[in-house]
Amino acid sequence: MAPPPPPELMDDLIGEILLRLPPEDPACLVRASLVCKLWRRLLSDGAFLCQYRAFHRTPPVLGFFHNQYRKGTSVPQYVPTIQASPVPQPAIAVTGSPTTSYRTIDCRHGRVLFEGKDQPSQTLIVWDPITGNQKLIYPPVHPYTKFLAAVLCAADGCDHLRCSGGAFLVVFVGIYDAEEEDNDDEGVEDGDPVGWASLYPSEIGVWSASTSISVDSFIDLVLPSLLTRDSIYFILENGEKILKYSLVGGVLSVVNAPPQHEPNMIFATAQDGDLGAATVEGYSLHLWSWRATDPVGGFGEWVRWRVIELDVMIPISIGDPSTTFDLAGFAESTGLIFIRANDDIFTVELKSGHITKKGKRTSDSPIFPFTSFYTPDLVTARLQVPMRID
Amino acid sequence: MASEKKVVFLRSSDGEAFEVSEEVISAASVTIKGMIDEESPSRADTAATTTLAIPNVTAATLSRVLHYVNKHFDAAAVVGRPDDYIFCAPGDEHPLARFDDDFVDVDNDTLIDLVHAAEYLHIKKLFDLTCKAVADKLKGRTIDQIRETFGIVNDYTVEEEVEVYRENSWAF
Repeated sequence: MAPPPPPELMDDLIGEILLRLPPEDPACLVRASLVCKLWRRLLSDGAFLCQYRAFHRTPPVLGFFHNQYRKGTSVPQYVPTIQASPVPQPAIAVTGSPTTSYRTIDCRHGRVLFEGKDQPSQTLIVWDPITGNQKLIYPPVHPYTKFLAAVLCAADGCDHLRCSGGAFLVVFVGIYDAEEEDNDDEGVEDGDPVGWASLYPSEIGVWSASTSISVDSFIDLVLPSLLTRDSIYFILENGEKILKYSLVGGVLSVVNAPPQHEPNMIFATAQDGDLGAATVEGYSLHLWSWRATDPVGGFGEWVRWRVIELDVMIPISIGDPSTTFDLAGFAESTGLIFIRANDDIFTVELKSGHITKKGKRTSDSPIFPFTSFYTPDLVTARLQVPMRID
Repeated sequence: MASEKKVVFLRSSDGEAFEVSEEVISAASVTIKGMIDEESPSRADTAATTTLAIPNVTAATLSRVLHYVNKHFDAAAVVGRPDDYIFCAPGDEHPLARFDDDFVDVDNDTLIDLVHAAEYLHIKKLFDLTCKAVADKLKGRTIDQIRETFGIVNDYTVEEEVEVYRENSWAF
């Protein structure tokens, strides 16, 4: 007797099962759509995919951007952390001119922010790897010695499940230090460096009037910024100070960094969704949250809310003095910290404390995780929207 | 007292009866709670225990379902722990995570029977768990293996298939 046929999945249950395919593996959605036409219909149906994104709630980390330095110039590179990756390398990295140096300076809500430097001119480029859209922006005309910038979705109350291709904001923070500038301009008085900020809404296409404060600090490395409910934070002086830009009202203020921020510090959202940071001491990862006592004056204190032992999870030779932990990046929506330990890259998931190896160290630059859904409807949209550079 | 605990009997499609606490099964299964509520007026003044017919579920599947239900919904057996735990210590897992993993580590046919039973009995947690397990099984399989596993006939023409491959070459 022939074996009984396998139990059939009733049609309405197929949707329930496909809904639970992991967004961390976008290729499996594509493969499933090749099983039969019914599955393909479901997997290319806008309403179903909308339900799919809502079901999973958080766009997954598909990879990260970092910078490779060669012969005095730098070039951004995308490193997928999943097996089959749909995200291409940035076009500027592929076609970049030898005299122009590009580097990744921020990444959020499915958009990447690059800085292009071709002495003496500087440009900002916002790239959406899902739609392929690329927007060139000239920095605001206001004196700065160095700057930091952040990119974010502009839509109010957006759940960021499918805001790719929509309006965005760029926050630009410059610090002007007359002494460092080394000019004898009569009009500029020496004194504390001045920090200022300006906002670029893509829908308007011009920089807002800037707001400024006196900042007794400077910009050193470009480290990933942090977005909380209504503010963007930047790391100054390699972790000595923090600059806060309030998206409501555009006010700047300075916050002290957590204690023991040596050898390095990155932002990591606190449990309450507000300002938080991660530092390393010995073999342990310390997580901090900021309790503001006077939000206007920037006063408050850092509270350590968790310590994760790294040597328990990361296979390193204990006691090896050459072992270093380098905090390289943080994915806001998923709560994932990227750490380099010697030659490897690991992620630490704040929710579970799970530590996963993600690959080999190929650069020492900060890591800017790229989080996005990559559902077949977005792929179709990509095919229909011609690549646009304006 | 334990002896006063109300029980109901569930009769599978192939005629086997299973005893389960009324309180536990009512908490777990929306369908059975509905059946019990319907029965209630007629059994209020009789000592007889109720037997409910579950015509869509075989004894093999029903016994698995009840094993799950007793683990997850018997208040005395479940260690108190909120489900939506956020930010727990490393290595911390939901106490039943291991049980759940083992529970769905079964052959395909058994798993699909469980999906259908969970849907019919309206046990949301079990439905989520088993659907997720089927989805996990799809992950590592080739397209042909998926078709074979679920008895699906390929209704693509060769040309259509090539077209989809071409559009999504990154995924293969």
